[in-house]
Amino acid sequence: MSTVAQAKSDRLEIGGRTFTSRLIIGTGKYRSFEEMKEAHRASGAEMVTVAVRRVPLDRSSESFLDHLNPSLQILPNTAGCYTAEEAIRTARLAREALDTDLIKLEVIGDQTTLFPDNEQTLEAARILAKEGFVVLPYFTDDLIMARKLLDAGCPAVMPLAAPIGSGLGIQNPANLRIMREQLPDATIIVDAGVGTASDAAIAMELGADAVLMNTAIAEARDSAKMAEAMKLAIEAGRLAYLAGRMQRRLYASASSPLSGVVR
Amino acid sequence: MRPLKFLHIHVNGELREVDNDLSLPKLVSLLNLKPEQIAIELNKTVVRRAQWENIRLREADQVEIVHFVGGGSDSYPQITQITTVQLRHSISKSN
Repeated sequence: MSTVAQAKSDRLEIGGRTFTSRLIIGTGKYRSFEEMKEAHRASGAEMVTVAVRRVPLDRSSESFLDHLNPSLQILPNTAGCYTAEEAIRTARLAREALDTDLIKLEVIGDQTTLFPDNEQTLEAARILAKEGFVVLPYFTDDLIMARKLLDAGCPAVMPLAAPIGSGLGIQNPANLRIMREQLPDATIIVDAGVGTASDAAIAMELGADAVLMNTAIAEARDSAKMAEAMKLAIEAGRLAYLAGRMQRRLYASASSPLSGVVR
Repeated sequence: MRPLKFLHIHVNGELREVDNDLSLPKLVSLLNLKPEQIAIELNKTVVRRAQWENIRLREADQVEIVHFVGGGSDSYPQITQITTVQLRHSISKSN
C-alpha cells in the first residue's frame, strides 16, 4: 500500500467519533462571519470550537451557531474560566444547550500568559469525566500531567506549544516528542502556539495526532488561504511522521555513487 | 404571609424585577431570547430544557442564561463577571 493510500485510511478518533481531518479550528477573532465560513471551508476541518457566554440582555443577539456549517462537529470550550468550578458549570451548560458530551476543558491560571492551571484542570477533568463528558483538556506540555489526565478518563490530551494566540510556533519540541514516545497510544492534540503552516507541520512531524488553532488562521491577512495552507501542512506533517524521517548527521553524506567519477 | 407581587432576581448578574411565579419559558420570552441554542442555570444548577416549564422563579434567584459565541483557545470575560453599568441600566428599565 502506498503512503498516500495509508494516509487516506489514517483517521483521527476521539471519544468514539472519527475524523478524516486532523485540523481542529476556532471560531473567534474573524473579521466577519463570511470570512470565518470561507476559512472553515478551506481548512477542511470537521470540528470547530466555540465559547460559552452569557446572552446579552436588552438587545437582540444573532444565533452564532447558525453561521456554522451544520456538518461541522461543534466542540464547546470553557475558555475564560479560571477555576474548576466555573469550568464545570460552563461544561454542563454547554452540554445542555448543544446536546453534546464533548468539551474542550480550559482552566486558565494567569491572564498575561493564559497558561493553564493544571491543578484545577485535573480536578475539573476528573469530575466531568465521571459525569460522562468526553473531556479534551488544554494543559501545559507536561508528561506526568498528561498521564494523570488520561488516567482521569480523558480520551485525548491537548498540550500547548506556546502561549495562546502568540503565534510563536512550537516552542517545546523536546517535551512534545517525549510525550509522544512515552504515551504511544494516547491521542495528543497540540493546542495553541501555531503561527504559520510550517509550525503545524512541525507539530505533526513530532507525532501529534491533531492540531487545534484559531488565531493563526483568523489573523492571517487572507484567512481562507492560510486555512488551506494549514490543511496542507497538517497532511504533509502527518505523512512525514508516518514515513519516518532520516537520521540527522553532522557531516555530509554523498547521494551520488563515489565510484566512476570522471577524473 | 401575603405573597409578593413582584420578585427581584438576578439574570446574568443584572437585577431584574419580574412578576411573581414567573416560569422560565416566560422569562426567556420576556427577554426576547430564542429558546433554541441557549442553556439556563438556576442558582448554579443547570435546568434541563424539559424542566423549564416546571420552574417558578423565587425571590433572589440567580439565573444564568448562556449561548455560544466565536472563540478558540481564548480568554473572554468570565461567566460570573458582573458589570455595574448593566446593573444600573436594568434597574431603571424595570420601573
